[in-house]
Amino acid sequence: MAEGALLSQGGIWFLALYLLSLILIGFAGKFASKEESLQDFYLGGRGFGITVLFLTMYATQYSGNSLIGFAGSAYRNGWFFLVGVVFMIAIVGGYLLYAPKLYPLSKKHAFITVGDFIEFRYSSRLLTSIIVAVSILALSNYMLTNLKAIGYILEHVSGGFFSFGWGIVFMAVIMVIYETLGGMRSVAWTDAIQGVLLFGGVLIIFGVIMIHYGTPAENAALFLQNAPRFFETPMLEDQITWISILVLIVFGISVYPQAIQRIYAAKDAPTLKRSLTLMTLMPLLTTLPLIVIAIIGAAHFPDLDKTQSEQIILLMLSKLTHIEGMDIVITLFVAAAVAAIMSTVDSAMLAVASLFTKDVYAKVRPDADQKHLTFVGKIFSWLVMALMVALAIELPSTIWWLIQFKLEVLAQIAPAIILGVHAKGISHRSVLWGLFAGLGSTLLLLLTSLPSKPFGFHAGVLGLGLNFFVVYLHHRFMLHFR
Amino acid sequence: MPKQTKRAKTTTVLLLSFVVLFCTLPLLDSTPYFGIPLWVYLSFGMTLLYVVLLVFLLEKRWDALGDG
Repeated sequence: MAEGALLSQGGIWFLALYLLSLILIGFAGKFASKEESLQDFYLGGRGFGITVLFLTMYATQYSGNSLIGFAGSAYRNGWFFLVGVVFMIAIVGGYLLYAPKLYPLSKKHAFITVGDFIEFRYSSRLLTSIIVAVSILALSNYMLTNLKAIGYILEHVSGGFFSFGWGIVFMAVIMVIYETLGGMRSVAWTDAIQGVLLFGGVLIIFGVIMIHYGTPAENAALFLQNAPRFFETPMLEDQITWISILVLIVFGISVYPQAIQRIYAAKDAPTLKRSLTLMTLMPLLTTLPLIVIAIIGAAHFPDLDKTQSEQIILLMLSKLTHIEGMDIVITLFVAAAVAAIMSTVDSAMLAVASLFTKDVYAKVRPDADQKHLTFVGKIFSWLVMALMVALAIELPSTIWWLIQFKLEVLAQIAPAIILGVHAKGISHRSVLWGLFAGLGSTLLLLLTSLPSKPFGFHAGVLGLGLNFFVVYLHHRFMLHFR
Repeated sequence: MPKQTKRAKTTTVLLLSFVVLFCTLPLLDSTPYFGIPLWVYLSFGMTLLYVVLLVFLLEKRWDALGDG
């Protein structure tokens, strides 16, 4: 093993066996498929029961950022990052705004993508095309950032045995193999393993940290000495930031196309609502422990910079290597981080491929049969993954900022979905004007020298407010003159 | 319960859940108790109340949310 590697020989073997098992699951998904159709490939035949549906929702929603980025944010911002627990719960509140109405519609009309619903509800090719384009842009960003994260992790834990670039290529090939073998079935089944690994890993690491570093109460004196900023009274701007984050997340993450695909894939309504109930509880058992760990880490290891702070959990664990069995805990953390990232990237890739196949290619080739469309979807998965890998390795950091605002842009499609299921009278023109206003104002604030957070609110939140307001105004205007 | 009344009550609980959600923001000062700032206790309490409301809506009012 390379010098400086965090993983032991046994840890490397465990990781290798875990990755190999994902390919085998890919084959299992292929053998379980019933027909060569888009519905079977992209929604697993709409037959997911509660265990698989809940675990695939859980693993997909908790990305590498939830495990590493959240810990870094909690280290830097202290208890203020409790907002992370609140917004992960509030995503389910976002689903409640549309899922109870969208789910029966998706069953009745056999929707596969978010574009299917938009086309059905508004009968507008322009609106559908814009929403599909925004979705693909946001998902590509999601894939890119997570692929970069997996490259850094593999390079770091293997002590350079895997270079950044080869680490990305290696993981991408595994993901695209099992995805093209079994489609959503393989992705959801691997997500189920990844979800268990993530959940178990976080709880075990939380227990280990509490035993060896102490609880917040036991670290009270150390907090005041090393992290007094955690005890500054929150000001008005902090409260505005808190509200702005909640609005952005509720409307942004709850309309992720891969999340909507999982709503469509539920076997029945009781399965869907029970899975969402479990999702409501998971931030208390996943995000909260991570935040507490990172805050305790700030008391013990003060003054880390941004990059170092994102490795706070690994740092805390690496100081305990004299304790027997700690190499197993470190392996578990690495496996959980890799699992969290893979489950996010594979779901985003599947969603991108389905959007392209169903909402772009099938519109150009309406005569193509289901077998041909499924084949095109698989080819597109390889192409899009190859492109994302190349960009993740080669994209210069100077233009990296261009793709950092996915959530603020994606949130602009929320009115089309939420109003689409609730307000029967709203026309595609009202939604289009709202979308133009929301996207336009968000991009204007983000891409020009204007402040990107006027009055402390995210550009995407102001854009969303304008979006809803313009839809309302246009709708009233049309009613008045009709 | 008549369908209309149930739907109206469900809408009220849904709106209330958003009020509770925004009440999670840090409102109190940061005097430490057991190593945790005071505002965190209120914020976390409101978070738990928000969870209860969401679970109630999901488990008891799913059909009413889908009606109409």
